[in-house]
Amino acid sequence: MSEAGFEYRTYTGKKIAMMGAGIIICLISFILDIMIGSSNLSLSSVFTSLFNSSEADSLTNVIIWKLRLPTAVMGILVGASLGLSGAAMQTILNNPLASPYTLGISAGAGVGASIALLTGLGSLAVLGSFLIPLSAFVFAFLACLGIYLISKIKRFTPETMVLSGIGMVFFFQALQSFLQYTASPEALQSIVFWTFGSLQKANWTNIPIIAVVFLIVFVIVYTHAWKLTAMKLGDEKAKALGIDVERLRMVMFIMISLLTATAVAFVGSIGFIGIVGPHIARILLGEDQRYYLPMSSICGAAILSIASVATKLVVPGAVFPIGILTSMIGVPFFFILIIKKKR
Amino acid sequence: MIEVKNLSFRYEKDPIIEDISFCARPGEITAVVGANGAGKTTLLKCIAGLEKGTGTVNICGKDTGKLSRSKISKLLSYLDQSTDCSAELNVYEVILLGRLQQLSFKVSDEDIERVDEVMEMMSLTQFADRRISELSGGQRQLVFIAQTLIKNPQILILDEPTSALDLNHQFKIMEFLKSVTKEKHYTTLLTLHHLDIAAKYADHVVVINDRKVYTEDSPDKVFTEKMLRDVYEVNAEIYVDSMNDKHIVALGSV
Repeated sequence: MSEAGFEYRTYTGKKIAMMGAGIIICLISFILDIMIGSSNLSLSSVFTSLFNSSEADSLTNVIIWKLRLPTAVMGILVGASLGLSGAAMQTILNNPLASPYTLGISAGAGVGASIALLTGLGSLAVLGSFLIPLSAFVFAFLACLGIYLISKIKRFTPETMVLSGIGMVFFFQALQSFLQYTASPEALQSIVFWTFGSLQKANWTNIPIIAVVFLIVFVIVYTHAWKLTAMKLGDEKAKALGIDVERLRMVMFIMISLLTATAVAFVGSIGFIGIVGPHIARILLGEDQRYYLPMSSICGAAILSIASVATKLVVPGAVFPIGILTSMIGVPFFFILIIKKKR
Repeated sequence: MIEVKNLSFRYEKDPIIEDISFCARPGEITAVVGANGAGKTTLLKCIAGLEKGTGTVNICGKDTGKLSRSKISKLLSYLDQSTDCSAELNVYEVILLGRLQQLSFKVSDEDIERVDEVMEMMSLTQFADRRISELSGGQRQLVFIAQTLIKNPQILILDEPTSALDLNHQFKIMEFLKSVTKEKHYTTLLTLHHLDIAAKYADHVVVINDRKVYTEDSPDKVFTEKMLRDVYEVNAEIYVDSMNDKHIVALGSV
């Protein structure tokens, strides 16, 4: 093996090590997320409750298993989902500014949730907690369907997808404004709070749904990792390498839509992660999608989990919408990475 | 061997190439030349299976009209004109992608050896860990040529492989393509704008004019003052030097 070949192997090893470091950061943040709250818990009591709950006191068990663990797990899952969706979206559109939010998927979900809140569906006993995410999911998927149908006519060119996505954003934002304009003050408050995004909606019913959807989408997207890497060279070159570019773009779009719509439906709009998670992964590891896709998930999960910890530190004892803080914390960090990036 | 028979292509209602037939043989460089907009790139795309025209294209005896894109890409390597690339990939990774059809999740030792060999052949080793987006247009063109060579194709189709290169590199890359074509018995089909280069390195020249084949033959017979007037609308003089190479001196528009 030549020196260049050896360096390639070393470079690959470094990427795997960085992914390992990312996972450790996620784990630390995850544990802190469980420890920190209105009543702080010690590390040992957290571990006892997690791995040997019969020996932990019942109050600690309730705090961890009913309150903290669901939000901590949801933070990791939603962050990973948004990171993966953003990475795949930026790759298929060959546009680093693309994210599931720039294509109106989140705006669609907002309208769906608002309709459920306005019509009183969300206040129904038992069913209410399911109808809001269901309605959000349906409208998020309607936004995707609109983009899909328009893009299909133009053979899934990135330009058509971005333009139809921007159209969707404006359309659903207008609908959202109309709904807010006609809403009662109480309903308006619920709508605004929903759109902030919050992990407090996590429970042991919606977590497995997101987990399964994430796993399925991750496996499907990841099996196309080499082809997605080749797509970064541009459509012409990817086609010359034997890739059916339009079909791949369509399949990826369906996967991204499914994952984003599911995540957003349960936690509301948490912006920024879908753009910045992949950016950080790109700066650290480049765009070999075998590493870029999982690293984008890891970065997304880490950002959301750290933001969740930070919300508790910033406003102790109160529920602060995490969607606000993800941008506040992430943006300065993101700027540092851009400035430090090698030319 | 590439056999093109009665190949035509329309973009919506506009004909781009019409009734084109010719053969490109193994061990030879076949150059397609013609004025801007003559249909050279479309012709190459149709042959490479990237556009669907009417007529037949046989590659190594197989009708490409009946093959999927991935099967066609196993038979040939195609280089498009563009040298733009903003991907955050290094040169080593870009060249490796030429073996896309063979790559499994873990890059094999064989893949690594092949990349090393091609980089060595094309003197690209020094750029191995450089980001492709940081290279000049000419350097990127060399990297993409290396990418087409990595899968050891029987058929090499190159659209303007020298367009971004300086004079020295134009000669170097054509020398390299000439020797690799002979040595490995590749069928090399390329388009060229620089007629001196085509006259010096091509074994066979196909001249496209007004969407059709104007003439095809060896460079000696193809490059005439009449052809240059008819196809390029220039008055030109042709000199033969002591090495028996033809040189074209354009004197001005007709």
